[in-house]
Amino acid sequence: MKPFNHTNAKTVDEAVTALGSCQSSLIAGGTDLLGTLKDNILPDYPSLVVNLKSIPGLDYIKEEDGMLKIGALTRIADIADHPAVKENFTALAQAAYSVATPHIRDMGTIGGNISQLPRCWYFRKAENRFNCSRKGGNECYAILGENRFHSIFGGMKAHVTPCTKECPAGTDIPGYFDQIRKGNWDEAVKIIMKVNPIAAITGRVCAHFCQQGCNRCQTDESVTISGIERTIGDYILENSDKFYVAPKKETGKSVAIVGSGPSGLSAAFYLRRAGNKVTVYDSMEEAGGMLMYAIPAYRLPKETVRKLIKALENMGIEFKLNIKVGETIKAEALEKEYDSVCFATGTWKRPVVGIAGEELTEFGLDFLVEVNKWMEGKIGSEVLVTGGGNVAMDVAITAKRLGAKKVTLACLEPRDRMPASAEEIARAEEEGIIIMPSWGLSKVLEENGVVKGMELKRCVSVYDETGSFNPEYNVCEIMNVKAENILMAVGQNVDLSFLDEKYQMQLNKRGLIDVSEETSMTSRKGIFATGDATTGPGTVIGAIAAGHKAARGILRYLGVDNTCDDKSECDSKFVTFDPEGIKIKSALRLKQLDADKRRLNLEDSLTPSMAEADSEARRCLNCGCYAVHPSDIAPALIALDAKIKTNRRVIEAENFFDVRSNCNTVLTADEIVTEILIPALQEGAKSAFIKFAFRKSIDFPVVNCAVLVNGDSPRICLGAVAPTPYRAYAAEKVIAGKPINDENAEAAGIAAVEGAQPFEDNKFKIQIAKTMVKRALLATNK
Amino acid sequence: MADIAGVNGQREHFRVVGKPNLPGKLSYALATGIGKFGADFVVPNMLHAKFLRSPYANARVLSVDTTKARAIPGVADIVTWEDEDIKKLGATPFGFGPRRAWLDNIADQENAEVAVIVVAENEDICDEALRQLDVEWEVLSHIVDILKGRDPDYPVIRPPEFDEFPPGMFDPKPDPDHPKRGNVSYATVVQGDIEAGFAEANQIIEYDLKLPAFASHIPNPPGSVAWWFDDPYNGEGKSLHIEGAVQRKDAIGGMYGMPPEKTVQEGLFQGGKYCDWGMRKSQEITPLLAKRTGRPVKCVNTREQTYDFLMNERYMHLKVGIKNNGLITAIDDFSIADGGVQGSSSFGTANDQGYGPYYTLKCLNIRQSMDIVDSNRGKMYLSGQHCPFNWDAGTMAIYLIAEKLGKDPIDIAKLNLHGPTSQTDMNPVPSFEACLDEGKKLMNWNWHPSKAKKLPDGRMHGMSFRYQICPRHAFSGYDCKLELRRGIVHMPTQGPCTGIFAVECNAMVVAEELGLQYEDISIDFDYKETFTPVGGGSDGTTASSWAMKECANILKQKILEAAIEEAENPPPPSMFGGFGAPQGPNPFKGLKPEDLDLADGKVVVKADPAKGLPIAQATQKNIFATYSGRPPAAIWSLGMGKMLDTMNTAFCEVAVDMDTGVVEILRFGVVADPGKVIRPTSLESQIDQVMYFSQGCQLLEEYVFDERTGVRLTANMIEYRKPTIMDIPPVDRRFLETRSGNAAYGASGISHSLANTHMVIIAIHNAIGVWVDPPATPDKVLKALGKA
Repeated sequence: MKPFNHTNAKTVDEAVTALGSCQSSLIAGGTDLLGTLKDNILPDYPSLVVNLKSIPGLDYIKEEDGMLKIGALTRIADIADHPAVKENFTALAQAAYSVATPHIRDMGTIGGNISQLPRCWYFRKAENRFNCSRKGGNECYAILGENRFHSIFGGMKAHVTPCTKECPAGTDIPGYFDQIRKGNWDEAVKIIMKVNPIAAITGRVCAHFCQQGCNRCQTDESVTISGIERTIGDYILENSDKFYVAPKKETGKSVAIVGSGPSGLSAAFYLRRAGNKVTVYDSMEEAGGMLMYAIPAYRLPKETVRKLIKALENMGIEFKLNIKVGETIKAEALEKEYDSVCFATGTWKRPVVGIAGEELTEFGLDFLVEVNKWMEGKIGSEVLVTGGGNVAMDVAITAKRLGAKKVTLACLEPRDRMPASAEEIARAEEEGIIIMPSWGLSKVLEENGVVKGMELKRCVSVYDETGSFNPEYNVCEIMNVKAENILMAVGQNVDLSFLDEKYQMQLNKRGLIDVSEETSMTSRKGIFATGDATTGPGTVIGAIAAGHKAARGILRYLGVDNTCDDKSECDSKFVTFDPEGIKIKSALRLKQLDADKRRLNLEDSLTPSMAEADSEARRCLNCGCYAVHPSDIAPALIALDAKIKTNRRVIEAENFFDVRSNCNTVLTADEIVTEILIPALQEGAKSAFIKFAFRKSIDFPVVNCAVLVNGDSPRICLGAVAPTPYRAYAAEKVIAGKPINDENAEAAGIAAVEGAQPFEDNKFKIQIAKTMVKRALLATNK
Repeated sequence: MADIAGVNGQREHFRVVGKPNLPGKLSYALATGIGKFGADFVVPNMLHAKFLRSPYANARVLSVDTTKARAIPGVADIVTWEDEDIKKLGATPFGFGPRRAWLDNIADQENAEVAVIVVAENEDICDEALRQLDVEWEVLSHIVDILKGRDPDYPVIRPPEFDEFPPGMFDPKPDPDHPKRGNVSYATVVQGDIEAGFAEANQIIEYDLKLPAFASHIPNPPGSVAWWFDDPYNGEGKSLHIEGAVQRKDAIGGMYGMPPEKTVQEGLFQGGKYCDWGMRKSQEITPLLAKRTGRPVKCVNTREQTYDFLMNERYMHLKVGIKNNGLITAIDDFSIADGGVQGSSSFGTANDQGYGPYYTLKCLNIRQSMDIVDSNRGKMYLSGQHCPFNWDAGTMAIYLIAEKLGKDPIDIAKLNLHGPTSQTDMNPVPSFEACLDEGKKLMNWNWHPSKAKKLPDGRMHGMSFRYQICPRHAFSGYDCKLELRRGIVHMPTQGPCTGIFAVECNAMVVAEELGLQYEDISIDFDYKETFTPVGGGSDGTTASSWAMKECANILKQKILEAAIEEAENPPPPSMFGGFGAPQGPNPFKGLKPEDLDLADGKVVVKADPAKGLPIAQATQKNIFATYSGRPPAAIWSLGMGKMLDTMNTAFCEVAVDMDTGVVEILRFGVVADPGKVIRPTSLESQIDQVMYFSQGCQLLEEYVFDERTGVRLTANMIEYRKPTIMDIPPVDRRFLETRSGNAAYGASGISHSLANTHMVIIAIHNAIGVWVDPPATPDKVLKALGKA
């Protein structure tokens, strides 16, 4: 055991003060804590243990004010043996008597018992061998591991799942997959649109960092989140009238958004949904920014972008095109006309690399914008593309598909560090593009102003020890690549052309618009900026997240209620997965056109059908924590309708238990249970508790059950079947007002396990739970 | 009654032997907490040591940077596998399996000691130092599911050099005709004509059974404390004091070049553990660390680090040919067995069932073949599948034949059991017949087929029967010594080995032979003595008692001779006091030693037992007697299991709750013939322990591994469910005394022959008509019933 300080609190306040002073733990009996510390199961070790047992006056059992009151430090053995508890609150006495062993009952307190940590063998493995989701890690190891004692009603989110964590927008991917599995596509849409209004776009072009985080990577293949997202994205567009609807109420506020790329569109959507008048300005002929102009149609069909813009227009967003802010209209004018302005102008400017002959090269982005015109008359030429990101891949593939005889791509990064996604690199190679990693640009080879190729120098490292971009070269290793066209896709610069001497805002060291980290507001009050203009070139999903964030900042600035934005209509207590679906090891692969059939204006891959998406969503583990609540006393308290009193509030027992990192209750860090309050039972009411464990002593419950038979309002609570004690409402309904006999008790048992979704290895708990409900009910007759 | 060898082997009247409730000499120390185990020793200026433990099931340490760890205040020493001191360290003789360096950089199970040992002022600092090691691991493929590991395409987990076995090592050894492939070694043994046996059969039954791995958990985790000290009385140079390694102090001393006389050990306990004689690294390393640091060093495992297997996992498929009357004509026995990690103990030789019912059967046509799969599941230190648990394969055969033919399995057993002298002997075995008669009475035996009996509370009733011979593998001799000193009989002994507290039986035999009470014998524990009663559990106990009986009679003769001599030539008064000459006339004057006897603590005249003197008065001499030898070999060992003498039977009744899958053992019944009961308390507790053992492994105990990581999830007393005192069913026992064993008074060992993995399982099948692999936890029972 590691050393820690120990203090005997004399009062609850003293304990609370001590708790807040450092990393600390409470000890109220010690039977759980000492094992936890000794086995070193938690990632963080307390530097202080605060003993509550030294607080006088918290160990009592008394009947007062029509209630049974139990001090939080009352020993479990005293509760089990107390005549009034045995007589009138039988379930509690029986539950207390079933706890562990006589010795532990003599040491343990009721407050400690209901606050104990999970007993999951992964959670409890010594030396924190499994840093599971319940400890802040990524994974519930029980899902694909040994789960025979785990929840049969699903898990609970103890953490942000790694897929969601990896997503810049924080998409609740398991959440919308869950709705897809249930056939609730519209609910799934609601979840995804909470953070991403353009799923049809991201389904096609997002880098899908989420898939790197997917826990399935531990065993086989990530869920093809991109494919499912694309399906649901198309579903959204096909039903745009349902999902892009004008707000029910107008706020009377107006916002101008400059730039119609992903960030601007995202901000526009959330601002409009909140009831504001939104006008989007763009300098191009069509809205969509990079989505429309920079991403080739074989990856993102223009029609998809147009459909999206149309849908946004239908919800009342106005697009003003061919207007270049700073030229056609001054920024000051916008600022005057609108309540708020948001600049989402992107990175359209060409950077200067500084090599000889650079003026003879072409900017890759320009190439993509004007792609069709650009290659006229250049069929058969050899092309060198420089850069290792997705834009470079797009440029190279586009050049190739336009008919270039040979396309070579050179980049600084080594193969495994190239910023482009693996699938884009693979696509490029599949189409015959020669990729040359770890080469830097030296100079353009030219004769009389005509490009002949590029001299490359070996790049030995890209970033220095601090992680800063600082490439180093071996200038002795030189290579010449022959090319008639050189397309530079080595980065883009932010377009701040709307700024002038009169209209200024603070820029950061990188020359980007400086915004508040919290609100996205610029140095000008009420003027916001978002997307690449504030960060430099980024991902589409990053831009969407930034746009959403800016929208929230603007709404806050405007004083507009944003509550609808953050509430989910489909939150449920437990999360589940498809036990059969998770057995499928191979991920969904999108159907691709054969290489010889690929064109510039034809999408390479097909959107998965809804059935395919549903099947793939079934591979999702829905990574919640599936450890069960181990307390014997908790179900009894819930059945008896108890309340838990703390130093700060009174909590219904049913609402007391929660699943959080290293915690099993809703208690805040400075909150301590002080008393248990149980209302007196009505005349004739009876309660019982029954526990099922493999051994007659020491074991934690495999299933336990407490019942209160109370005429029309029975209460039935099962323990150890779910992450929190499980109130069996369906069973209560079955038994309400009916006599307790074999037939009714059995029917209640069957109802109690309705909706159970066990793992393969814990199906037996359904049978046990059913039987425990029946037997507990019948026990009230004894 | 057998022709029992040795002095007074035929004794019929016993005063001490067989007396119940005699207190144990060492159990007092255990019960009161006086007894000290390795973990309990604290000596001044002591340092603590801990090993780096592997978080991986199979991994190699590529490098370790100890810089940060060494800088921690309180860290005294850090040793790595590359250290010359460690490289020089040789394993003790009971190392099993292929030879490995004492400490290397390979961790072949989770929690294995690997690569580094830290020594510090306290355990907390050791832990911190371990955390501060910069260890570069190479994680390798692992096997915790031996069926998957058997797949020829599965990555090979064991370096090829570990497949080379030095001469004289325990099995398994590669079969030269069937070389190892992938992770699998092979072994086959055939006796008789298997094809002819099946051709002769009228029916064939086939069945599968799984023998689970289960624990031999040491109540007190192993560890030792060692220090070096000047010892001028035993020659030059330092002497070694080591505590906590009771049975192997000389072997450990040998690792460091120390002769026994310069290796000191005073403690008596290292924790009881069934059939586990292997030392742990924590016990062997402390002398080295103490030498390096110049201070006493303690190293003790945690409970979790000691959750070793007693039995490894094994899957069996059996094909049995029978005649229409139930007579077995052929057995084809195939196993897939867990070979464990490198350095596991003797394991899994084909023919391991030879010492079980296969040799008790009339059937002569038996083939045993085995696939032995390397794994990272865990290490067994001594016991292996040669343990008699495998005899359940035969027990199941008998049950299945009975079930198939609608007969009582006891009748099937009787039909197939051969006679006392050989597999072709048609005579009944008296011990077996006697056990059956008594067993049927004890259990109110009324056989019913499966699924046929429901109890009044709605549960299904099942029953099972099992027999076994009492095996004898105490082949070693004993060096006994008794001493009469100032009128008290002393029995010096080096004390208990590996948790076998058997000296009481020896003392009882001595008391019996010397006309004393058990309490009169002074059991003197001294690590320098040579006598120890081990040599095969209760088998060793009774065999050593035989030797001690001989020694007692030598002492007796010397006492009587001394009494006569002193009667004729009274010694002068002692200058230091003492007992002095007898008061009044010496009643032995003029008699001869053969005229005397020992009775009730006195030397008495045979012809007139009222005439006598307390021993202390009869002779003032200090008298020593020694005896070196062993009882005649048991006929069991002469026939290596094919000759039958003492037998035992066990019975089980269960009730199965069809709604919850809970199996309650209503009671165990044991009728055992140990030949002669010497100490009933020992025998009863051994029977109880064996039944507890059987209950645990058949109903509750289970090693659970996380397959992806190979980490063992049930290495604590909560998750690894041994039965609690509240779970243990009644055990009704009857002991018969046919005096047909070879040890003292015809006793034999009862040993572990009653432990089993399938008697409860068979009773469950008898109750519900479906098989459940052990442990038959409620989830498995419900699954077998189609309810989960």
